Amino acid sequence: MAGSAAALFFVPMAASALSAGSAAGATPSNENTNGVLKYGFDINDEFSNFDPATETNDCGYTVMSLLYQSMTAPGQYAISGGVAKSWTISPNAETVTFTLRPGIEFSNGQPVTAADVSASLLNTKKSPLRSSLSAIQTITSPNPETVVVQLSRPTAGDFLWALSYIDGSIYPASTIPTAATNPIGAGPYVLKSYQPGSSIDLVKNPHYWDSAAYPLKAIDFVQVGIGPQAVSAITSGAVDMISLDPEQYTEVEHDSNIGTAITQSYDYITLETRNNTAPFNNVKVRSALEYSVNRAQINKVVFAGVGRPAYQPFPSNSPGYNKTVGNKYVYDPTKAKAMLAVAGYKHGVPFKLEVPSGDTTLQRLATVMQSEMAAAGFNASIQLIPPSDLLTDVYLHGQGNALLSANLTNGPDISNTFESEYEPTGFPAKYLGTLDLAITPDIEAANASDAASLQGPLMQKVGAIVMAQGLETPIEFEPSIIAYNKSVVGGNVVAPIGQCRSDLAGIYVKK
Amino acid sequence: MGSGGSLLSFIVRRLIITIPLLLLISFGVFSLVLILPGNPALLLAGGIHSTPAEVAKITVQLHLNEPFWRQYLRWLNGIIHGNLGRSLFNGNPTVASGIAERFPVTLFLAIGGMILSILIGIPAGIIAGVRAGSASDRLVTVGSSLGVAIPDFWLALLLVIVFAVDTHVLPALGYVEWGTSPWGWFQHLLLPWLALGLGGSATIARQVRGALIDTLDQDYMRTAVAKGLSPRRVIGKHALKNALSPAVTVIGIQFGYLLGGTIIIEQIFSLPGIGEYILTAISVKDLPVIQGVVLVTATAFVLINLFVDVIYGYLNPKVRLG
Amino acid sequence: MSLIRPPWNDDPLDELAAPAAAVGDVSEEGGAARPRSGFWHRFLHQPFALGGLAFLLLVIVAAIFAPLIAPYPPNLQNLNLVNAGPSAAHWLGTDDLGRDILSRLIWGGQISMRAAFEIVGLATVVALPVGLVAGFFRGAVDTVIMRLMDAMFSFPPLVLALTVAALLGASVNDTAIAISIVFVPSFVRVLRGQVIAVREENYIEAARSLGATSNRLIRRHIVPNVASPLIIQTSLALGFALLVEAGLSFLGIGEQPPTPSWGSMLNEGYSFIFSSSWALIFPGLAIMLSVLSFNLVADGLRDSLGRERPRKSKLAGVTKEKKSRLAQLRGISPRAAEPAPVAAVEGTTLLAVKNLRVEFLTNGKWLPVMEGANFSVERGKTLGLVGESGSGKTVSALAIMGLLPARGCRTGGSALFEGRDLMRIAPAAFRHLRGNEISMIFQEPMTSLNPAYTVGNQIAEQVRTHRHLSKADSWKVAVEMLERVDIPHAATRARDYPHAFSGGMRQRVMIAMALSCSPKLLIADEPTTALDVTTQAQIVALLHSLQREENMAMIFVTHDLGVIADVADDVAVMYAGQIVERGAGAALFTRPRHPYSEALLNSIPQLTPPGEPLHYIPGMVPRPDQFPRGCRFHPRCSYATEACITTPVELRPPAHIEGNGALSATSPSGEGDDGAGADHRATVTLSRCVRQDELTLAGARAMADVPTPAAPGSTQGTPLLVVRGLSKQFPLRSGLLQRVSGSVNAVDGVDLSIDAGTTLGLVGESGSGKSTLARLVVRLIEPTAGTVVLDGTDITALRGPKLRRERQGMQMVFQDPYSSLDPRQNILEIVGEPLRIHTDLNRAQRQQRVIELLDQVGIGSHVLGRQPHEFSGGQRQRLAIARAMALQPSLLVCDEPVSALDVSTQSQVINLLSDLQDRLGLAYLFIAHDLSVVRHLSDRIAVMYLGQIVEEGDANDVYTRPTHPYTAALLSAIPVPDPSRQRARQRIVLRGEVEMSQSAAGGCRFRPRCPFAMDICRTVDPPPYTTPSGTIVRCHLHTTGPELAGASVSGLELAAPTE
Repeated sequence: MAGSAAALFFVPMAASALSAGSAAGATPSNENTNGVLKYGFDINDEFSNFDPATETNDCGYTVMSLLYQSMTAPGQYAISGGVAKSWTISPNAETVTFTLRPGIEFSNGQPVTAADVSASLLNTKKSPLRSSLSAIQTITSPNPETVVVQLSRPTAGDFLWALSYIDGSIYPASTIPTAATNPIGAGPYVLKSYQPGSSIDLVKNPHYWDSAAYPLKAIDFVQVGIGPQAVSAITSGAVDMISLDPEQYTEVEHDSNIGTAITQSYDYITLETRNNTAPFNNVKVRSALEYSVNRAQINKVVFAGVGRPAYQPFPSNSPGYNKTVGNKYVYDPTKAKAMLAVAGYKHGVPFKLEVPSGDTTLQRLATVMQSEMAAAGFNASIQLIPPSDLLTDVYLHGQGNALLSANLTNGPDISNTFESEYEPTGFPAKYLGTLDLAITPDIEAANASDAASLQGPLMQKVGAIVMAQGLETPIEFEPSIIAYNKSVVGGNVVAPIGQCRSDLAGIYVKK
Repeated sequence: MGSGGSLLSFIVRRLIITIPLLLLISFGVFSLVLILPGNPALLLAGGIHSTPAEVAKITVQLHLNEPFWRQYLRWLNGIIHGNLGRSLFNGNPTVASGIAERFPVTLFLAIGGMILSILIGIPAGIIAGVRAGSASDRLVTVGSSLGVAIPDFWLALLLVIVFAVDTHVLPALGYVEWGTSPWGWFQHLLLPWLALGLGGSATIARQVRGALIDTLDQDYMRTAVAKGLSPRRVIGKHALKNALSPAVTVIGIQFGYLLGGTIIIEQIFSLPGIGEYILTAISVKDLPVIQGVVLVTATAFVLINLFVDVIYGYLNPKVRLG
Repeated sequence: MSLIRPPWNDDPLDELAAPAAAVGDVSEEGGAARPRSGFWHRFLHQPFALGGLAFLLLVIVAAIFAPLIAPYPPNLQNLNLVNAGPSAAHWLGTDDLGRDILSRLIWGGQISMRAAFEIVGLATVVALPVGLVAGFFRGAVDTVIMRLMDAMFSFPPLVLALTVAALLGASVNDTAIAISIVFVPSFVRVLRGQVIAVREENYIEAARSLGATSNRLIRRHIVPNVASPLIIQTSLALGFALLVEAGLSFLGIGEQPPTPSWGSMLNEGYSFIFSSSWALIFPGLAIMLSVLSFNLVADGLRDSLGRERPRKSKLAGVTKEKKSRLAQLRGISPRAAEPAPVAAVEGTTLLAVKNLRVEFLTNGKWLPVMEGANFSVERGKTLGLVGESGSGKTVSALAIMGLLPARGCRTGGSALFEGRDLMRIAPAAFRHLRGNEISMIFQEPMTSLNPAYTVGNQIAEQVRTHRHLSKADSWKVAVEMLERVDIPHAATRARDYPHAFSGGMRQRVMIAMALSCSPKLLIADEPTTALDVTTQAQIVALLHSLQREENMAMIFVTHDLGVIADVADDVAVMYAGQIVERGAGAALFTRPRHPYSEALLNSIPQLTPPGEPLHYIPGMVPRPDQFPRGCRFHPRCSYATEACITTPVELRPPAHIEGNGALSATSPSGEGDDGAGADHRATVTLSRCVRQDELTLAGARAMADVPTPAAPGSTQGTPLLVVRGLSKQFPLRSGLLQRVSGSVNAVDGVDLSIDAGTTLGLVGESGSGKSTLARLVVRLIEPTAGTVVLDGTDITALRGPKLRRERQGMQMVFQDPYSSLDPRQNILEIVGEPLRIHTDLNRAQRQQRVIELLDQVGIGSHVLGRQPHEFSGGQRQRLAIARAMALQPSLLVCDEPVSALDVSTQSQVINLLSDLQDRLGLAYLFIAHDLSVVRHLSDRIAVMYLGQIVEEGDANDVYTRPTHPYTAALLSAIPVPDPSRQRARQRIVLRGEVEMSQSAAGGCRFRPRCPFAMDICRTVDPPPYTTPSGTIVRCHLHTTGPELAGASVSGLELAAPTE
């Protein structure tokens, strides 16, 4: 389930979960100081160019996060410092004042200045792909260490989370025109060579502010397509490390030469229903749908048992997790059938299920779901749809009754997905009829702050509404799986939180 | 025979015919825009976040508001100047550079597959044709029947399982530049070449066998024997030149299949060729890229066939007149 | 004629197969149409094709009845048993969701097969009309369509399908549309090619001249005849469609999950290839086996349908058999059946053939096609081998040369060539002799030279092989040889490829090649049969002079007794695998000793006085498995007695010689001539006839001495056909762009008229424009200028239905009987076609009329349901005549109707035409290149040269007193079957050949080849001049001055063959 292009159009500001700066500085004895890590990556499908403003593919962040330092950096529950060492939020949540990290330099040795920060953010804002920055009204710099961003809406928290992602990449003002091919950033690595669709070679950035955290001298991204190729790549030794889909995990889990690391992400697969037309304009039908999916079985069959069933929009380790809702919507076809009968659908509910094509996991999921839901009275006919047609066909032209999609949350930025799904400004909200004004105040309140302690209770509330109203049917939190060659890769391999990221801090190549 | 029969004037005539053909192809390629559903401007304007103004602006930028023929002429003019337009995505790199970076891989793949299929197909066809009815003929006939029927991508998968994963003899995937390591380049392309070339070799073997049997039955073969030539010379000189000319045409057509077949093969072997490029472009409806790739592959096919025609003309003096 | 297969099997030329036998393996009786029975018979004998068909049927039936057959529903998941291998519960295992692979394969067959059939069906529906239109109408429509197809064809198929499929959408139907687009251009190409090929066949012209509309032509003739290749193509395409569909499904374009198709199953299985390959292997196998089956069925169809396709017949109508010539290539001569003693050969004998026996393996039996042949060739002399086709003469020649195939053929006896037995010589040693000491030239100059090499290269190669000269030196020899065979500009022509030479020139090249190493023996196998009379005369003269120069011996194989008279010192007449008469050439012609020899002489047209029916030998040469007991010729012999039927006859000298004991006694074993010395061979004629001593058979002279009766006075009737100033120009293209750079006047201002009930004979060499004129007259092609008036109606300007109506009065009979009858129709349909077009007779009435017509041409009505391939050439020509007669036309245009027939059959057809004219008062425009045939049938004769009628007059006048040098040359080129007269007569051998003048450049067209050419001929085109006897001639000899004209006219008269 590596970043399907579908995700592109829904959550353009998905964020990373780099656990940055946590690695030990000491060099292990068996480290190859000239080692190069061969990292398998679908360059062709998941990377387009080095310009943070125009990179269309979410998964490009796998590479970009190693070249650019973003303003902030994501953590498990909170954001930490990046180019900005610290920041303050005004009480009305419309002004953020950043203090830049002292002495931080770009890979070309140039210091990172407030002017560069301002130029980067304003340039990125221009891109229609980076609407997370649309709230920026003005950027001022009272002194070289300080940058003040004035927002047009009280969404400072949301903004800060967005800056932890590709949207917050900082680059020299002077290199903006050449960024697409000649990236200069303040990240741990610099670009050595690039063969489109084939390879991206990085070497260590000597000017990086936290150099010790990255023992790897060089990283070669090697083209490997998504799917079984990944397995042959890692088992044949063509690459040392690669991110796997769940189907591929079962192919390597018993291979003694291959190590795996799995991190539970916040990204989840969900069934979006078209709530403004029959049959899903009936809340009873939607509620019945929540009971018609055997999430445990799906986790076992489709996700190799390494994901987590999603009985609500937040996993149990999230501050947004609602204990009251808990696992209430466990598979119960009899109950679902009964609910449908009450709703007036004695003979079952036929509906068209749209599934983005080219994604094996989603396709298998749809197939298993179809069979499970049939037992509960929902007769889905599956329709594969090219990701690029989702926007026009499903949203604008109203094709199908439901859509299987991956909700890439902005990592732990837990209010993120709800904005587009249920807020008046949201595209799905508008076209799928999932708008629910009851949750708007809570989301707005959550967006103002970057504090999990504040957001948590708000989102628990929203989560309960989403499930009670059956606004969507969450199915599975996707695991993020990394496989590596045990004889080559050293250090503590951690899969990043969420797909399409890389977490190479502390990793080294063995002698 | 005057100017009509010389190889040179034949080549020139073929070249002249090629120009309107390429024009026709370019028109066909551009017409793809007509069947394209969806609006690229909308996608570019940020999809679900787009505003009507943005969409309108991008529509004008892409000249999508112009009549079809003007768009075509603009595009054609670009092509003549070596400009295939820009990708709608990915920071708008030029299509020409995108193709230039990837096409060599596809070409290596297709040409290598072609060479392999020629190297296998022609000798096999000759052996079978000369010994028609013998055990070796039956072997070739059965083998080539199977070879034609095997889906090349399936063969590719089996090759990957057997060679790359089970035995680790050859790399399962990926690409190494010739400049980096010629041996690595060869190793990485060998399995894809096999996957692509075996089917082609079967087709060629069948063709050569059939043509050779036909040729051996010609009166001039009897003449050659009656002249007292050795069997080697009878076959090697008199039969082959005639028998190979129909095979040459098949090779030309085969190349088209190979160019297409590379798409799937590149997927399976993770080769950074044009197939991956167009598949990605198709999945996001990146029309300029689709058009560019289709145009370039079609042109390559035409040029290869032009080359094949010239060889055909060399082998078969009669066609030079036509 | 190539002889890989026994010649009686597939040789359409010879009448040797009786009609019933010619039906071959098809059932003998019953008049019902059996268009497919032959096909099924052949198809069912192909195990691979049957296997393929069975597999496909299995798959399709299983797919159709999937709900009943499949052990599980296709989408039933058993998530506790995923990726399991084959087991009792799941024969082929389960996939990643625990679904039964076998069940999914069966259901998947539904989708995949349906998609394949949809794709091909759609492509066919689109391509059929397009291809038909392009191929049938040609011209601009064709050009536009083909350019479009070229463009479509230029897209790599999968790229095109993928792009269109991706853009159209993902449903299986859209995918089918996308893929079918890929198939259209190749379908159109194949179809168009077939249509063009069929369109060239005479039966299309025949139908058009019957008045068939384009619609009818396409529906009734073109479509049925292109159906076979189309079916084959379809079968191949189905397999390919399956592959392409699988490819796209594998990429995720096609059927929606979870519905299985084989391609999508591969896609699903792909994810788990490392842990479980079953889900990948079985669908792949299903695809592979299905595609294989489609291909095998296509191969089977090709082999079974192929033979019903119209034969591509050459001028002589000889077809080629398909089988490996491996044996020849290896230079292995067929193994000897029995050992024979090797005897020393006397001094002057170059080649002594003893007891030569050739057998072919037919239906598991060895059948002799030549047995017990004894003959020898003296140094510097010529032996003629004569006989009808199927008599074994060519087989004997090939056996000596070691060119018979090893497989299915064996030889016995010996052939001592300077002491070496060619039947037993080692291959390498034989190679040294072949082309060096013994050379051979063949019947078909058009196909006997390798098209891929220049003629110089081919000659030099032979020189280099045997003389070990350098490249430059051998090239020099090649050019010298070309000069010696009178090829103009030899040095430059040596660099040309064979296709740049005419048939006569190619035969010269062949001779140059054969003689390049100064062989001691030249075997010439019907070297002039395929050539014009004038060219034949040139070639024969050339061979003659070269033979004298080189003191070379020659074996000359021919069926033409006239040529034999010209060249042979000794003659062996062959019949049904035996030599029936052997002796000195002169003796054969003056006093033949075997009835067959007499019969052969008899059937030469010029020996029968005009007005009398031509002689012919009834029946045909029997097939080797049907050789009669006793004398093999007895069923056809007019002298046969009881004894002939029962006792085999041996070859022996006349009794008086035998009785004198001058020769060794005849042994009963048929070795009668065995120890005969060479000198005896020249004087004593041996015959294989029991009655040879009592019979006195007529020689050529005796026959020719029959007084010529007065020519049938040209009946001053009403002109039926009047042609005035008829011209046809064909554009000539040249240069880089193939622009029209000029034009050829194929027919140039021809005036003709034919009276009702009379025959106008039209003669001329090939290339003179005869056939074009015939087609102009019947309006098959549009004239550039001039008028055609038929029975008072000017039909030149008629179009459409009016023209079709007028066509009834005028029908055409074509040269090639093999291509003038639609091979897909039965006799009732063929002969009844004009009735269908022009009358409203019902079926029974039509049948009645067809039976009458068949009766008129001497064919029984029991053949109504048969198809053309079941008939011999002569019978087909009768059928064509019957068809032409159906509408009771007043004029029949016969375009070389007998040129493709054996001499005996030729006579029968001419007699039939003559008889029909007497009974029905038909008028004929009778075209031939053979003046003697024309003279026999014609009231008037017109001679054509380069598009013009150069002489036209009363048949007898033209034949006996030619006034144009060209006519005189044509006449003198006809070989006379009488060696003494043939050698005595003064002959005009024309130099050069018909040259296409690009336009009337001024002056006489015949001037470059005319032995009488004067200055005026260079500049002034001779006007028509009417001689006192009423002959119209275009020649300055008759217009420039009485003295000159008189002198030369008398000179021309000298050259006439008979007075």
